[in-house]
Amino acid sequence: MDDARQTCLEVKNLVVEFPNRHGTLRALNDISLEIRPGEILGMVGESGAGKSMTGLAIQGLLERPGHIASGEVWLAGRRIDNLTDRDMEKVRGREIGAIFQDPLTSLNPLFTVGNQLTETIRQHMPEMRRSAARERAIGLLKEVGIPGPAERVDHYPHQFSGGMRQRVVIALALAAKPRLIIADEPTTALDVSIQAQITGLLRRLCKEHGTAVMLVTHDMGVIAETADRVAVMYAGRLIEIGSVETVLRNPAHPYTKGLMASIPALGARVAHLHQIDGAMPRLNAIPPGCAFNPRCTTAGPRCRRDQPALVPTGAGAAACWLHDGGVA
Amino acid sequence: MTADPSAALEVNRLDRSFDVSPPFLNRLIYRQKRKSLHAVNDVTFSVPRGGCLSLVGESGCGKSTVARLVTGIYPPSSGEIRFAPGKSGAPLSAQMIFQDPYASLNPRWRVKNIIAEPLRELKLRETPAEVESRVAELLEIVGLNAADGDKFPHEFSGGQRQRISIARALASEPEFLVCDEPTSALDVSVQAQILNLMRRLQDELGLTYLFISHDLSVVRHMSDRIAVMYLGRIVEEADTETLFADPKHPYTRLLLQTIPNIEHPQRDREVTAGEVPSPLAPPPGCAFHTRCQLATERCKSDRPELLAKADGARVACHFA
Repeated sequence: MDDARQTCLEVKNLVVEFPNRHGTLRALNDISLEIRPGEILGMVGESGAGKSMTGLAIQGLLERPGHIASGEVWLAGRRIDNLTDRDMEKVRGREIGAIFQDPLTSLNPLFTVGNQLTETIRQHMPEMRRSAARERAIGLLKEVGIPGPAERVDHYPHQFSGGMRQRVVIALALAAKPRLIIADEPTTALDVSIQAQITGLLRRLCKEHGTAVMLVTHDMGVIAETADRVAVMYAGRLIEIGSVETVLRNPAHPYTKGLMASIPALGARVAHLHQIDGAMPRLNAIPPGCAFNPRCTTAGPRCRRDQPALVPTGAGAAACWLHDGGVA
Repeated sequence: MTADPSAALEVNRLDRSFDVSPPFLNRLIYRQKRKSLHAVNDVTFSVPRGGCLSLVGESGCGKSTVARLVTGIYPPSSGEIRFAPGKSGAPLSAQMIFQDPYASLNPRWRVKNIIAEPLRELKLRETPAEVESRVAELLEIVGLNAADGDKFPHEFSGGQRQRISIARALASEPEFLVCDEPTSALDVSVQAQILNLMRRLQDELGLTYLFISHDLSVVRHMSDRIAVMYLGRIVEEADTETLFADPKHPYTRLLLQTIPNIEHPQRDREVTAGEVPSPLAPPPGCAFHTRCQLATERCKSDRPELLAKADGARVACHFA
């Protein structure tokens, strides 16, 4: 892991800010993480925690006035956060593939899926002939498990079901053989039985191609079944990161603990679910100290005063004073 | 079906189809036929007083249509829906909680007016002062502050908005609540708050729930009995524990198998089952035969009836 060539994506102390007339909102605060080739990193958190924002910032897709205020993003040994828009366009699609939540809105309804695939392939590999690109498009559809790819390639998106459309979107993301895929809630719009098929497919493809995946989701079940490592976000900060077994079974941060306990278990039925009272603070009202302190049952005076940093907790890392010298 | 005194709601052979024909001129010029979508087909169930029946299934299986039929938003094509007499002697009243708390509250109204609307409309309180005190009381029942009534919906988070819609549903003092995916738009930590609130209200106010969800872990937490729907029909209905311990229909087994299990993830399983066929052209015979591993020739032509089993479950499968 210390070997630079071993890392696909490296994010160092990333800060994203949105200036507005009342001041500056810090949407991402000091995010550092890395993903190795063939590894799936799950990003979890509540809506507004900054998990999608991290993906957008890496792809250079932040909406103005949002911008990267400090920090660095490295992809396979090359710094990409300071590229011009033109150069970044070449990175997107070619080196970073994207899968979005709603498979219907991420496909153009006016073109056949074959058209959209060959366009993407030829955009990134201009030397490829049209007929070869079409062959590759059919090959990709086959790879993502679409039955009868040779006929389906000439169909329009509306002729596909939700699960099949998401497979087409995955084929599009894979078209230029990217190093990294950012999948933002790829299964949220799908039914459970289809969801399992799509996560299985994503996992198989990423292992086969050695593609790194950043899987953004709020669904702990999807994380448990798909990810290798998990990063938990809260109010714009990374509060815990570690292997999926450690974070899900033996969480170190009180927020992760509460989150895991609040999921209704399939094994035993309880009268009362564990609940974390309150809600995540808005970006303009983040309390001093640890952002989780008003909802935390173990908070002490230090939590209300100083912001904890990510410290190693054995198998992973967590940002909590409990693991860094106590809360008093 | 005779009236069961312990049942709060009895639904008998409920059918609902929608006309999805192309427009008149298209039919005339292109000689297209009329088309109808049979969303709910021969659905029979009853919900015991103070209990919770859940309807589960994938999108398009008709579970939300049943919710809308029960609350009278749609009239049924055939079949009957019978509410038992409530405390007052009249059929007990039903209210509904919707999935999306962002779309189901009017953004231009203050919260107190949203909650007071049923009180004013149904003339449940006489004077404005009485309405106001009832609104304050309702806000506190659902865990909000009486002062929150002066705010607008956008000032609240998703979980708080869902509390507001629960308060609105409770305003007319219903004894029956239809909850259509009440937590699927919420974050997990907030979902637990809302589920706990709903359980507490059930105990305190003696409510009966018809709960609709696609999330089996939530359903298991909330319900006493579960009905699994597939393409407009109930394929299995059983007590919660029976259904989880001994699922009899192959579709129920498929659903249970595909729930992501956080404690014991099965990362390397290969899910091969296909997708739900279009409800516009449901397969003949047993609608599930296209995805079923047990399917034989008989399943393709002969639709299994929903039959009662020894342990109280009802299953529609030739092999159960």
